[in-house]
Amino acid sequence: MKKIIAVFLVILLVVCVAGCDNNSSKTNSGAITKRETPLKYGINAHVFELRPVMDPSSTLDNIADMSGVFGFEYYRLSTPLDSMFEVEEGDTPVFKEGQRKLIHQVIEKMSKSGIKKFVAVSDAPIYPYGYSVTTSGVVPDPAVEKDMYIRWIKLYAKAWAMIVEEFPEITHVESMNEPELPGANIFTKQGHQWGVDDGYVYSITEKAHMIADLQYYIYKEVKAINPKVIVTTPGFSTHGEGHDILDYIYESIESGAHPYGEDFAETDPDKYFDSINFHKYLNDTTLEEYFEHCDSFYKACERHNDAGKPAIITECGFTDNGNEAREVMNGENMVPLLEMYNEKMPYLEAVMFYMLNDYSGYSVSDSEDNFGFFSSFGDPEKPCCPKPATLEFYKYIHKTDDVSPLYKYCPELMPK
Amino acid sequence: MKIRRLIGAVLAVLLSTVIIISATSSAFAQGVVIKGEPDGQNKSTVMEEHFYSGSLEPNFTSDSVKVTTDSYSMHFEGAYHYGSALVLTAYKLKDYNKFTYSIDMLGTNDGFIYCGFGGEDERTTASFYDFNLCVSKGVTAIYEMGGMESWTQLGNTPLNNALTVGKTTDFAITLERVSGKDYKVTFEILENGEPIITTDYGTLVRMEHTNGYFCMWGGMNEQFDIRNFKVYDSPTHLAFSDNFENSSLTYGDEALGDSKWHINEARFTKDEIFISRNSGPEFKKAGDIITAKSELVASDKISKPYEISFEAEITSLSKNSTFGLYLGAKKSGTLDNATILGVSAYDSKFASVNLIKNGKIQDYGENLIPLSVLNIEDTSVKIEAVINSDYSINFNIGGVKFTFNNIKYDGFWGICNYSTDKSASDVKLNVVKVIKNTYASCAEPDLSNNFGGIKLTPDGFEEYYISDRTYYIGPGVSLRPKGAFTTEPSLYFENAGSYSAFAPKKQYTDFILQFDIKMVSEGANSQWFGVNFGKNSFASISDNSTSIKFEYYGWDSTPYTQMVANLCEFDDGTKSKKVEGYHFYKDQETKYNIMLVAKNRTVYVYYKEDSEDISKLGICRAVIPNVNTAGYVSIFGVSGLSFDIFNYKLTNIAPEATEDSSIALRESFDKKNISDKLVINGSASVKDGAMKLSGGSVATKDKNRYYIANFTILEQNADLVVSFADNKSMILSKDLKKVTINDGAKKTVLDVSKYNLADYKNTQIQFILQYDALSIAAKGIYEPNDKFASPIVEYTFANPVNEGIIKWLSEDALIDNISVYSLDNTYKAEGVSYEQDPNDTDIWVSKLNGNKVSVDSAKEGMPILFIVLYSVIGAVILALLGVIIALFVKKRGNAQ
Repeated sequence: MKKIIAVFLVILLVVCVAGCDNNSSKTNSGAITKRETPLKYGINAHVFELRPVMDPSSTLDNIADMSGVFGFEYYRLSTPLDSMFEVEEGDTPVFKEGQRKLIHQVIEKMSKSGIKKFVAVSDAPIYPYGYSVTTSGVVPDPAVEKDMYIRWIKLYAKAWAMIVEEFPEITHVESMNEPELPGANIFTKQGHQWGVDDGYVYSITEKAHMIADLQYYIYKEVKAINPKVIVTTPGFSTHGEGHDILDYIYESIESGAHPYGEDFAETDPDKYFDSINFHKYLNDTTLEEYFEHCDSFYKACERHNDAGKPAIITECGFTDNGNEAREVMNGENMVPLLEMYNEKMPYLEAVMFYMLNDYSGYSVSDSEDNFGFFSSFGDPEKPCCPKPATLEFYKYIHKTDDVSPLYKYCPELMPK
Repeated sequence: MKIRRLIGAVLAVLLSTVIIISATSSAFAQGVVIKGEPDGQNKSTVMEEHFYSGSLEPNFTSDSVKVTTDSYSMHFEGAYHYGSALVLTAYKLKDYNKFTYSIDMLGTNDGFIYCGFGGEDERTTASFYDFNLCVSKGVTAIYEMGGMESWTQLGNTPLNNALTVGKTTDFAITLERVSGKDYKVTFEILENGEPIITTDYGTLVRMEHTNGYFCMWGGMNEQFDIRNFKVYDSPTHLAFSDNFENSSLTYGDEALGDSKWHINEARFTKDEIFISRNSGPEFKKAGDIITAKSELVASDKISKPYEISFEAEITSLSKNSTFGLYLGAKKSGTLDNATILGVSAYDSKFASVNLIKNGKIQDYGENLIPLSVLNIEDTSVKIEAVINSDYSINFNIGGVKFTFNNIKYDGFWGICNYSTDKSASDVKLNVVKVIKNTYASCAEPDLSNNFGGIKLTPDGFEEYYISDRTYYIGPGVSLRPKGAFTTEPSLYFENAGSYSAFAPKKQYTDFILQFDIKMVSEGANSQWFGVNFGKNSFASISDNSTSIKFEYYGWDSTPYTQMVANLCEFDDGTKSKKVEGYHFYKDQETKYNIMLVAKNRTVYVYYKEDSEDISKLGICRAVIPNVNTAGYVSIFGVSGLSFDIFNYKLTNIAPEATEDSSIALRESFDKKNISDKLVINGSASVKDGAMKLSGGSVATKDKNRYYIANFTILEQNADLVVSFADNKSMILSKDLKKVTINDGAKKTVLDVSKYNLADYKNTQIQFILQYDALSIAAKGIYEPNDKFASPIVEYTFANPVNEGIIKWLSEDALIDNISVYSLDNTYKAEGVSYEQDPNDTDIWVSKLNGNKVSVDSAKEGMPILFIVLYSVIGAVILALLGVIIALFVKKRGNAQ
């Protein structure tokens, strides 16, 4: 009799345990509160051979060389889809041979200089065969061109899958650069003219819907090729109303609106992205404000029951506007910034500084031209010369006071 | 009485005069009845394979046939791309530079070929070269640094036959430093290496980039090959030579590497400038076969789904071998199940055109053509096959035509050397061209807008509203503000630019577009407004798509309006013509009515002054045939022109459009209530989704004047009368073998028995009444729509037809699917207010709320399984419990 009762109790227990387990769901309990792996550092650098309109002195050899000197492990690899592919009939992307070879060369050279992780990013879309747009960056409006919109997102995802397959060294896919940036020229409506404030823009919530759709297909296609590749969200600028983009994307996923046009809904954010990707510069803001801005942005994942997602900052740093006083100030801010990343933002996998060098022979604006850790390789007076922040960064991550390797291209300028 | 007779005679003379004048004025409309291009389909795409790549790829495949190359060249074709050019990266200018090369003109020599000198680097935009030398038909010109703004036309250098299609011209351009930055330029045309034309421009140009680059570019869709390119850096020293066999070319932002040539600016694509081979597949052995990678697909939606042609250089022709086209093969690379249409030798004078089915030659020797037609061992012969949807094929070899019937064409196809023994013809293929005619269906709704729709502002004020989800409203285009200064709502084009356009965001194929226009600005040279059709994008620049433009032409002493067919041609082969009797730019008060009808790949143009009688809108002013109209339709303006648009109407006249609308009548009798635009009289009623006429009639409520009307006859056991204005009517006889036209005064009986209309189970009738012309077309319900392009009756009334109701009347007939599309102003455009606009809704409605299946829900479906499992387990547990209790009770009972 006792045996029968015991069997009964065991069955009851098993049933209860099974039932409890099935009721489990994501909760905020998975939030990352403690750093478990060391923060990694990476760099942005435009390679002239890839982008011939930029600073001609930023050659692949130069960039690989100085990245190696610095010891960066992450490199943000520019793979703009429109320059990577031709699109043939049937919406078939075909690699542009020259560009394909160049990317292989860049990866090979940067790998030799110590880069271990390549974060591939595109800032220029491709379009279905025969579809013409008023400017690059236009997205077909699903409200009026549903079929074209779906062709577009599927083509976009297919192109990313081909990139991941062709370049197995790529470890992260950042599908877009700052698509939510208010007033930007990407993610605009058909009719938009580049650089013109003509009102052909999508609202922030419309952008969130479209980004979610894109992420769904990119995630699916990329993972089918290489499940190990980390698919991040686009690198969000977090500017203005764009600060709320992640909340809007989560809300859109939760609403069951994706993938658009299909008769099923995918509401699991894990099927859209593996990690959160954003940008933040330390200009005109205090460190405390900087932290609060980043932290509140990142914690959208906790607000939407998706805690535990790691994050990567693919653009950070500061411009000095070519101003020496700003250079000094940036130098003073560098170590506190790094300490903050390490101590207060344990969810960060890596931070990638923007940029390796200032521009010369090419100018956008005082601000844009002077983001570099170093002056331009082509600077006639001080080629590739480190700035105060650069020295602080180098000392911090290498735990050394010997900064002489940073003066490789301008030894005569090294302080005695 | 005499006086009365006299008055009567005078009146009779006056009346005759009026009739003569009317007849004269109507003469303009004679022969211009909307019917479409007989050969037309909605949309055509073209595959043209020249084997430039030196292989069968990408369009063909073969295991046996090899492609051989005779020579190499740099091939140019495509549109003009501002700033983009072919840059010679392997050579930088020196003190002496002589460039020599040959140009084979392949097609279109209306444009220009430019050479640029003094590019700062390999990627410098072509317009910023120090100077450009332009060569076109009969003209050379030099453009100085800074682009097109400052240029010097050097006059009409006699170029003889240079740049004539089919000819090769040798050029030499010498650029020699005189002193400092001053260079002299010499331009020569050579024959057998000797200059036959020399133009010495003397010391003409100053070079800023004396060691800069050389480039070439073209414009206006020329097709040409550059061969034997050489550069001498002294009169006797050859510095660079390229016959393109081992040349190299990079594009846009690609790395230059060791490339000899580079396309800067990335605007010319790999399909427009590339290193090409003069190549072709050779058929030498029995069984040689190439197969197209794209299978043919049968279509009953269009009359001629495919048109295939190829050029063959025949070296020898075998008697037991047929060289030609095969169709309908089951597998790629085989002739399984295929039909072959080709040619073999017959005797010393004739060749036999053969049809081979299942490996058997049918009727060898029945279809003979002179051997001379084939140009054997000389030039090439063109072989064409027009594939019809009724499985007949019109086969044309060297201009001799045959028709073959009952040929299954869907499946794999290609070109082959079919042989019954080992003999084979020896043939080299040059160009294969395939036109695929596609029927582009279009069910999009009609649109109309008077731009007076209302939306309330947050402050409670009314403002005019138009949906930007329905329409693309380009830069410089806006609604007039609501208020005292806007007497009539309109869409205002203010200083229109390249992208200033108004377009529905849906695509249309066959349509009637109507709108009114009034100028706001005065008009100037190079200004125009117009309508794009068949656009790929509703927002793309207007000049890049086919369009009709109404251009201000002020170069003559009296300015006038000129109609221009952009990227297409009028039916008389011209691209522009004067607008007779109207000048749309004459003032800022006159409003004009514009109408375009796109039907069966033909666009018809109509216009009149708003104040003129509506009959003037029935006069067709221009016809643009054989043009793709499937795509976006937009109204546009350019070059700073300002004007207002009123009363916009776009009627979809494709058969897929079935919904009644405010500007069109469509009734399928499938719904409970029929259209309020129809009236039933007498013994007539809706029966089984159709209109049964049993002595009664169904008629339009509104009076129509000019229109396209359609209906289907499902049953007809008595004559069917369709009457319209002025007691005019057409009567379809009970047996559908005669059509009687009642002109009001006389009747004309026309025999249509040859069309066998009674053989159709359901006969679709389309009749078009316009100005003074009636056109009637008929087809079976399952026949391609383009059959309506060939009328069975065309009748011209003595006078323009007046307005009237359309009435269908019969003692016994069952008719269906009535539609009437106005070609006048029967229906007025109305404003669509924000509250009424169904398009301003959120498309991102939650699927979960819409009861769609959620992946998570699907996962959550798992608990259902668990519930079932739990239920089973629960039942077992309860049963066990019961047993335990029973045993316990029993045990206790036993114990007691």
